[in-house]
Amino acid sequence: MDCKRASDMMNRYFDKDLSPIEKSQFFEHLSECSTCRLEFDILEEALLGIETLEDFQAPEDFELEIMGQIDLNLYPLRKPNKIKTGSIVFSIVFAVLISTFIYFQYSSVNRYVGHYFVMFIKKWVNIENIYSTFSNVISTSTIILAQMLQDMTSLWEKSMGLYLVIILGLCSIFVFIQIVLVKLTSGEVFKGGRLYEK
Amino acid sequence: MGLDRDIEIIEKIRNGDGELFHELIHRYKRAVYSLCMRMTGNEEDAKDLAQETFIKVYHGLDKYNSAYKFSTWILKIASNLCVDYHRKRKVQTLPLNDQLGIHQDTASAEDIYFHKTNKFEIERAIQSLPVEYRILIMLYHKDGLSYDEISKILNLPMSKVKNRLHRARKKLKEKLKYIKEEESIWTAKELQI
Repeated sequence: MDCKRASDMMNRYFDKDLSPIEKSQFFEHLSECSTCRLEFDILEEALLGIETLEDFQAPEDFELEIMGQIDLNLYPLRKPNKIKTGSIVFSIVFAVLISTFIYFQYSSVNRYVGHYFVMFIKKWVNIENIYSTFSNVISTSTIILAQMLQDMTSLWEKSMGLYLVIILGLCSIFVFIQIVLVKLTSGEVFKGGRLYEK
Repeated sequence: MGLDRDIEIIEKIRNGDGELFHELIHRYKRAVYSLCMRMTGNEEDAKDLAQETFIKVYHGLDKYNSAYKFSTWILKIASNLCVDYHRKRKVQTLPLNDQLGIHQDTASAEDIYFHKTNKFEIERAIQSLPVEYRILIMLYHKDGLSYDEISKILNLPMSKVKNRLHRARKKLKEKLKYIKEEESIWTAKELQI
C-alpha cells in the first residue's frame, strides 16, 4: 500500500468506515511507514482529545437573562387538541350512514331498494320511535367524540379535530331536518321515500 | 427519552406554557454555549450568540418540525449565527487561555499538567482553523453528529461535508504538528536558560 492510499484510509478509519480487512492492511502499513504512523498518531491524539474536551459552563445568569428577554405569552394559552385515527373512521362511517339514509329517503331512484335497506337497518335500530333513536344516537356520538378528543395523538392535530366536529354537527342537523320533514309530510315514516314530494 | 421530553416541552410551550422554556435552555445551554465559545473564542460574544440562539428558537417554536431532532435544529441555528458572526466581523480568533477549566481532582499534579497542556494545544489548534473547518470538526467530533445531520445543519450536500471534513482533519493535523514543534522549541529554550 502506498502512502496516498493510507492517507485516504486514515480518514475512512476515523469515519469508522473501514472493513476489518482494510483496517488490518492499514495498520500493517502504519507499522512499516514511520511518516504515516506519526501523522496518524497526531491526528488520533487531536480527534480523541476533541471528543473528550469539556463543555464550557454558561454564565450563572444565562437562563434568567433569556427568560427576561422573551415574551412568555407569545403562544396563546390553548388546550391540546389532538386526534385519533379511530375518530376519523367513526366520522366517515357516521357520514356515510347519514348520506345513505337521506339518499334512499328522498331519491327517486329505485324506491324499493331504499325500502328494503331501511327495513334492514330497522333490525338494529328502533326507527319507528325515531325521536328517541335520534336523541340516543346524538348522545352516544357526543360521549364517544368527547372520549376520542381526550385521547387524540398529535398526528393530525387541531385543524382535523375542528373539522370533524363541524362535520358531525352538520350531520346531526341533517338528521334533525330529515326527521322534521318526514313527520310533517306523513304519519308513516318509511314507505320507500319521496313522501313529502306528494 | 430525552427526545420525547423535548417534544413534550415544545408542545406545552406552543400551548401557552412559556415558563417551561427555561427547561429547554437548561437542557441545551452547555452544548450551545460550548459551540459558540469555540467558534468565537471569547466569553462575551459566546454568551451573546448563545442567548440569541435561544431567543430565535423560542420565536420559531411554532415552525419547528418534530420529525427532526430538536438538538439538530438548535445547533443549526447556533451554527448559522456563528458563521454570520464571522462573516460580519471577519474576526481572527485568539487562542483560548485560562477559560479552559479542566477539573481532575484525583489526578496527580504531573497528570494535570500534561492533560491541561495537551488540551490546551488541541484548543489552540481548533481555534486556528478556518471557520468552515472548525464548525465541521466541532459538530462531527465533539457533538457526535452524523454526516446526514451536519449536511442538514449547514445546508450542504453530504459529499461536500465529507470532503470538507477530511480537509479539516488534515489542516488540524498540520496545525497541531506546528504547535507541538513551536512548544518544543520554547521548552528547549527554557531548559537552556
